[in-house]
Amino acid sequence: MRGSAAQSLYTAIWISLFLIAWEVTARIYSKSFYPPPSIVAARIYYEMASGHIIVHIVATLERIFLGLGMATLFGVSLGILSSRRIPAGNPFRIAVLASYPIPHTTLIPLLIWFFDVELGKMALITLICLYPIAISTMEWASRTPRSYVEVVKSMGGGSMHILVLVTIPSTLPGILTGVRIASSTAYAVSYIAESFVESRGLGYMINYYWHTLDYIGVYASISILALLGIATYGSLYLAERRTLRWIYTG
Amino acid sequence: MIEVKDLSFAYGKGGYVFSGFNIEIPSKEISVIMGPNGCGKTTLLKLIAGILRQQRGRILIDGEDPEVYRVKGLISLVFQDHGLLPWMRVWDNVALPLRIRGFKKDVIEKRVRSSLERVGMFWASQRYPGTLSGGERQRIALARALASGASVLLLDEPLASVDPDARDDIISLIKSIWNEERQTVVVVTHNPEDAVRLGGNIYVISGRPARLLSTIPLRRSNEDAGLDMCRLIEDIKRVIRSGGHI
Repeated sequence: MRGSAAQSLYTAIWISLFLIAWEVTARIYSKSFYPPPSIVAARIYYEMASGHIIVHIVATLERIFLGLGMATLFGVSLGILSSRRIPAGNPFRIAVLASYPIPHTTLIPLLIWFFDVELGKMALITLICLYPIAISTMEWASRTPRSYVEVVKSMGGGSMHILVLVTIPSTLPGILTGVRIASSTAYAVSYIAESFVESRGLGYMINYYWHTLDYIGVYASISILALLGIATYGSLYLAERRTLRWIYTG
Repeated sequence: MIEVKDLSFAYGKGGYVFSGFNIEIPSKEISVIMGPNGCGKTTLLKLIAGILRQQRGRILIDGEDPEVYRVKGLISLVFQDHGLLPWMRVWDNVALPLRIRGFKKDVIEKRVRSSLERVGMFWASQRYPGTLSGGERQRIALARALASGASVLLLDEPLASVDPDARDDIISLIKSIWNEERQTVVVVTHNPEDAVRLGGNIYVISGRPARLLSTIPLRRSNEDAGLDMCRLIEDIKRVIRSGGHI
C-alpha cells in the first residue's frame, strides 16, 4: 500500500474509533448536554435539508474568507517590508513584533466603533489572522538566500525582478504555512466575532442554541464549524503541496 | 581585455580581500584564475560581474564599467552552486536572463531550446533543478550562460560539485562552447589539475589581501600540445606554497 493511502486509512480508523467512543460514552452517560454523534449527525442533516443553517454557513464563510484574504494581502506585504534590514531599525518590524502580544479580541468594541458592525467583525478576523502570516513571511523573507539575489542581479535584474523572481517564491513556503495556520485561527475568531450584536453566522447559532438550552443544536453548529475548518485547512494543505511542487519533487 | 587596476575591496569592516590588486585578462580567450580556497577568487568574479562594488581602484571590460555590461546582460556569471532557482523548471531557469532583458517570446523559445540541446539537456526542460545531479545542473547553468548571449562568461568553480566521471564532459563542454562562440571566458578553480586541463593563461593568486603570484601562459590545449601536465601541476602548487614566482 502506498504511503498516502496508508495514511488516509489510519486517519479514517482513528476518526471512526473516536466517534465510536463518543457514541458509547454518550449512551452510557446519558446526559442531555452530551448527546451521541448519531443524534448530532441527524440534526445536521435536518438543518441542511431544511436550508435553515445554510444562510448562517454562508455568512460565516463570507467573513472568514474575506478576512483571511485581507489578512493574506496585508500580512504578506507587511512581512516583506518588515524583513528589510534598516540600520536605524525597521519600523514595520517593530510595529509587528510590538503589537503581536496585545490580546486582539479585546479590540472588538473599538473595531465596531470604527468600522461598523459587519466590517468590524471582518476587521477582527483580518487583524488576528494577519500576525501568523506577517511573522512567518517576515522570517522567511529575511532568510532569502543571498546567492539567488546575486543570480538575478548578475543578469541585470533590478529590485522589482528580485522581489518577483526571488523574494516572493523563496518566501512562499512561509506564506502558505502562515495562511494555513491563520485559517484555523479565523474559524475560532469567527465564533467570538459573531457572538457580538449578530443575527447571522454559525457563531451566532452556537450562542443562540446555548441560551435556549438546545444542546443538540450547539453540538451540530460546532460540528459544522469544525468540519468547515478541517475542509479549509485540508484544501490549503493540498494547494500548498501543489504550489510548492519543486520542494516535494526535489 | 578585462583590466583590474589598483583594486581594493573588503566585506564590511572585515580585512581587505584585495588591496592594490592588478590583473589583466585578455579578451576572447579562456583564462583560469587559480588559488587556494578563501583567497578571493569568487569575490574577484563578482566584482568583474558588477554585483559587488570595489572600495578603490577600477575594473574595465573592454574599456567599459562592469555595471554597463551587467545591465546590458553582456556578462554571465555561472555560480559555484550553479545558481539555478529551485522553484523554476529548467526551461524557465535558462530563459531567465532573456526574460529579465525583455526579449520576445519566440526569440526566448528559440534560444532556450538551442542552448539546452547544445548541452544535451533538452530532455530535462520540465524538470526542477533539485531532481538533477551536480553535473546535469552544471550543464544547465552553462546553457543559461549560452542562451544569454553574453560576451563575457565567468565560471566560478564549474567542476566543484561535479562527480569525477562528469568532469571531463564539463571541461570538454566549456572548451567547445568557447571554440564556437569565442567569448571571453574566465574560470575560477582551486584545483591545479583542472586549471591546466582547461587551458589558456593561468593566473595564480593567493594571500590575504590577495596578490597575483604568477601568470603562466599556456597553449589552449595543453594535453594535445604534449606538455608535461604533472610537472606543470607541481609547478603551480610550488608557486602557491612559496608565494613567489616560478
